[in-house]
Amino acid sequence: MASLEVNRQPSATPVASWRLRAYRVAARLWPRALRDEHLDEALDSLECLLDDERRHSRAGAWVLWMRAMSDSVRTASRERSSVAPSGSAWNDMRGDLRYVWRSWRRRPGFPVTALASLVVGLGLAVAVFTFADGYLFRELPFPSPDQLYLLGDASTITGMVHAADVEEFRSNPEIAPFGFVEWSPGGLSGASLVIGDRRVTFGSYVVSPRFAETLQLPMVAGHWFTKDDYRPSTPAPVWISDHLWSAEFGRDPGVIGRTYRVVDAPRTDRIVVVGVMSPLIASFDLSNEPPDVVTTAIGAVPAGPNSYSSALVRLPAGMTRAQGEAHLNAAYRALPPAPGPRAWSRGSIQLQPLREYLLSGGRPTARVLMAGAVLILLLVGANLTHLLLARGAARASEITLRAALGASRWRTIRLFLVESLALALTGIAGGLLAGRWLSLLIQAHVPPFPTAGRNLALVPMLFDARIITVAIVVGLLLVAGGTLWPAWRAARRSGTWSARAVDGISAGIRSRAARLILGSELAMATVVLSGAVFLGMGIWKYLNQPIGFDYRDRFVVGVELPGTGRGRGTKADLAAIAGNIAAVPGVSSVTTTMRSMSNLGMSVTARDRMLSPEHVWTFEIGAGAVKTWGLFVQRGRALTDEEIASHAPLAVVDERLAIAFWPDADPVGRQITIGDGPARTVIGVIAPVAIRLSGDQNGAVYVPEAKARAARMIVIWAPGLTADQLKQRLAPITASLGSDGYLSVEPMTFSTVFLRDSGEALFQAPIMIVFGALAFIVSGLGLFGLISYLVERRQQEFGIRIALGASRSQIGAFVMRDSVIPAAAGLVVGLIAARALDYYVRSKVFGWDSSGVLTVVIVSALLLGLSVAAAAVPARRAMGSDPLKVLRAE
Amino acid sequence: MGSSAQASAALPDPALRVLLALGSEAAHGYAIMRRIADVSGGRLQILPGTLYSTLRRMVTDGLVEECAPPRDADSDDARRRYYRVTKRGRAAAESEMERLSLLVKLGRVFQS
Repeated sequence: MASLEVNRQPSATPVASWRLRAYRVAARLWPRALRDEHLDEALDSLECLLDDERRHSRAGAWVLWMRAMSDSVRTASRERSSVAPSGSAWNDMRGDLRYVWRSWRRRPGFPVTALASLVVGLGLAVAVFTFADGYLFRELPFPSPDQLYLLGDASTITGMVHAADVEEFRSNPEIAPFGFVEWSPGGLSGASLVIGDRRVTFGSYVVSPRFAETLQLPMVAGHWFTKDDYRPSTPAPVWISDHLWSAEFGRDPGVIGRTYRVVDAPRTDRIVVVGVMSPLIASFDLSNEPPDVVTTAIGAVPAGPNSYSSALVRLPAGMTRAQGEAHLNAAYRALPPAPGPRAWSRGSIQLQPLREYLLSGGRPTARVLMAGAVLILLLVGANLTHLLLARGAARASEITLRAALGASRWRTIRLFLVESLALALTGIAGGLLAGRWLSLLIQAHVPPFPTAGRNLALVPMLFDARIITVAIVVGLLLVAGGTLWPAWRAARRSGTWSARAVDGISAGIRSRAARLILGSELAMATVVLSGAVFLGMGIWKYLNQPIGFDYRDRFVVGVELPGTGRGRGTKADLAAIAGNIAAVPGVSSVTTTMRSMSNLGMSVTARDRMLSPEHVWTFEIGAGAVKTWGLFVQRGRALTDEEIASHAPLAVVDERLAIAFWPDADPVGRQITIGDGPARTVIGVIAPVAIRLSGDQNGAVYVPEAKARAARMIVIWAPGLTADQLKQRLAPITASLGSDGYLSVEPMTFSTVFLRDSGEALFQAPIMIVFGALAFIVSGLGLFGLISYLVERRQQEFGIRIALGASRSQIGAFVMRDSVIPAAAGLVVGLIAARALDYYVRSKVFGWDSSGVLTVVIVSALLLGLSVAAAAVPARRAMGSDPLKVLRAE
Repeated sequence: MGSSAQASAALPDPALRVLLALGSEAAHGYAIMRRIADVSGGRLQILPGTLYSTLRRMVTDGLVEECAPPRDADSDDARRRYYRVTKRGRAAAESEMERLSLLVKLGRVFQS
C-alpha cells in the first residue's frame, strides 16, 4: 500500500477541548484494561481526525464527533459483554437495551415525542441556566466575597467618594489595613490593539496599586501587576479578559510577556500582556463594554478636584457592613476640609456589596428567564409522566404475558428502568448539545454594553462542569419522576397474574389523576404564555414608541480626510464634500447631525417661565435637517434652509415643550429665549424626537446653528438606495480624497440609533418568543397524548354506549367536554397564577406590560383552541368505536 | 484465537480492515484510520473506540504486534504506538481474502 501523508499539521483553531473531554468521560465506560492501554492514543487520533474534518466543514466535524461518541459507547458495551459471564447483570442490561431499541424502532412515536420534548426543554433550560447562574447562584470568584464593598456617598455629584479622600483612607493607620482599591474607566479607552494585520477594539479601565492583591483576583495565566508595573514606562503592562484571550489569541499561553502595538492610545503605543483574568469576571466597570476588556496599570487613578473613581474596600473578616460604615464614617468626618476653590462636598459613606454592584443589573432578567425555563421543565416533566404512564398501560398485555411466563417482578421493573435510563441518557446528551448551541446563541446576543442603565455582560456565561452536572441531575430527575410510578404499577401487577391483570394495568392512571395532570399542564402553559405575552407586548410597545423622525432610507456618512489629528481638512473642504454628496443621483437631501446645546447649561424662558437645562433640550440644526431627518411638523412650519443659513432669530419647539409653556394656546408666533440670547419667534411645532427610549423625556427647542460646522458626519436621505448602491455612487468622491481619505457609509437602523436603549429588549424578546412557542407546543403535545390515552382507555365504554343507543356525535361531544372542561379549569388557575406573578414582577422586569385585557383574551383563545384541537383527533377515534368489536372482546 | 484453525475462520470486519490498512508497513492508529478512509474514498471509516479495541484483541490473538517507530516516522508523539502485521496476521488475511474471492466468484451472477 502506498504510504499516505498522515503527519498532522498544527491547526490554527484547535479542536474544542471540551469535545475531547467529553470523549474521555464517555470512555470511562470502557473496560479498565482497554482504557489504560489505549485511551491516550484514541484521544490523539480523534483530535487529528476532528482537525482534518474541520478544515473541510465545521458541521462535518460535529457529525464525526457524535459518531465517535456513539462508537465509544458501543465499544464499551461490546467489550464489557465479551468479558462479562453469560447471565451477568451487564449482559442482562445489554439485552434489555437491545429490546428497548427494537421496540423504539418499531413504534417511534413514543421515543420521538419524549426525546424531542426532553431535548428541547432541557436544552433551553441549560442555555438559560448558563446565563442566569452567574447572576443568581454562582459565588464571585474571590475569597470571602461578602467582605468586599463599594464606597458610596450620596451627597457628592457622582454618588462616589472623591479619589483624594480614598487616598487619605489609605494613609490612615486605623483603617488602612482594610485594603482600599480603585478603578476608573479609561487608561487605554478608544485605542485599538494591533494583532498581526487586524485591529481589535476593546474596553479599558485603569486600576490602583494592590488591586489584585486586595481582591485576590483569580488569574488563568500570567500574574498580578508588580510594583515595577506601576512605573510610567513603555510598554504598558495589561491584563486581558479571558474572552479577549480566547477570541483573539486562541488561548495561547505564549501571549504572556508578549508586546503588542496599540494605536490611538493617549499615553502609550505599546502594551505588554502580563496576565489573563479569570473567565468568571468580564469587567469591573459598569460603563465598560465587556467582554473584550483590557485592565491596565498605567495612568494613576485621577485625583483632581473632579476626580471620582469607583473605590472598593475589603472589610476585615467578621466585620459587618454597619460596623464597617461606622469605622469609615468616623475617619471620613475627621478628614480636613477639602482644599481649593472647587472643594467637593462630603456626606456619609454607604457601603454597597460588590456582589450587588456587579450582579444586580442582570438579576431581574436572569430571574424571569430562569422562571420561564423552570416552568418549561415542569411542562416537560408532566409530559414525560403521562407519556410513560400511557406507554405502561399500552404494554399491559406484554407485561402480563411476561409475568405468566415466569418473569420476576425485578425483571419487569428493570425493563422499565432500562428504557427510562436510555431515554434519560439520550435526552441529556441531546439536551446538552442543544443547550451548548443555544447558550452560544444567547451569548452572541447579550448586549455587550450598558443598556437601559444595566449591564448584562458583566458576568460571562460559562459552559463548564457545573452546568453539565446540573443538566444531568435535572434530566435524571425529570425522567425518574416520570418512570417510578409506571414501573411500580407494572411491578405490582406482574407478581400476581390473573385474568383481571390486563384490565388492572391498562387502567393505568385513574381518570381523575389524568384530568389533574391535564389541568395542571394547562395552568403552567398559561403562566408561561401569559408571561411571554406580557413581556412581548411590553417590548413591542417599547420598541414601537413614536420617535418623531424617520430612520428608514437614511445613512450616516463619515468623512476621513488625508492628514493627521483633528485639523484634517478645512471647513471649506468638508463643506465642498457635503455639497458633492448632495449632488449624487438618488440623494434627496443631506444635513449634519443635530448639535445638542444642553451641555452649555442654557435655560429656556418663555411666558416669564424658565425651564432649567436639566428639563429642556436645545438643539442647533443645520440646513436640510427637517427634510433629511423626516421631522413631523404638527403646526406652523419648519425652518427653511435660508433661515438656517442667515441664523434668523426663529425657533421650532416640540409638542412637549409647547404643552409645558403654552398648554392652552397656540405657540406659533410666541417668543422664546435661550440662555441670554435674543428673543426668538416660534414658527412651528414638531412631534417630539426621541433622544432615548427609556428614562425622562424632555421638551426640546430647535434653532438655526450659530455658525456652519466642519461636519465629519453627514446624514443622508436617499430613498430606495441600499448601502452598497450608495457606496458605489459615492466612489468618485472617495477617489478624489486621495489614498488616506475615505467615506464610511452606515445605514441607519432602529438598533444603530437606539443601540444602548434597545439592547436589552432585543435580547429578551426572542427568548420570550421561544418560551411562549415552546409552552404552546409542549402543552399541545402533552394534551394530545393524554386525551388520546384517556380515549384509548374508555374505548370499551364508548362501544357499549353506542350499542345502547348513544349517537356518535354524542360520544364526540362527550370526549370534547371531558377534555375541554379540565383544560378550561387549568386555564382559569393559570390566569390567576399569572396575575399573581404580574403583581410580583411588574415593577422589576424590563419591558413587562400587563395593561389591558388583550393578553388574557389572546392566551385564553390560544390555549382553549389548542385543547379543542388536541381533543379533536381522539374524539373522532372515539366516534368510530365499533360496538361489535367491543362486545366480542368482552 | 490462538490456533491455526481459528486463524482461518472468518475475520471480524474491523480486524480485516486493520490488516489491509497496515499491509507490509508499520503504522500508528491515526494512520490506519486515515488509510482506510482515504483508500475507500470515505465510504469506509473506523472510529477510535472500535479501532483500539480491535487492535488490542488482534495483539492478544497475535495478528498484529507493536513495533518501534520506523525511521521516517511522521511524528515523535510519545502517545503514538506503531503496529505491524505478524506472520499469523498475514496468514489470516490471506485466508480471508481467499474466502472473499470465492464469494465474489459465486456472486458474479448478480453483477451487471
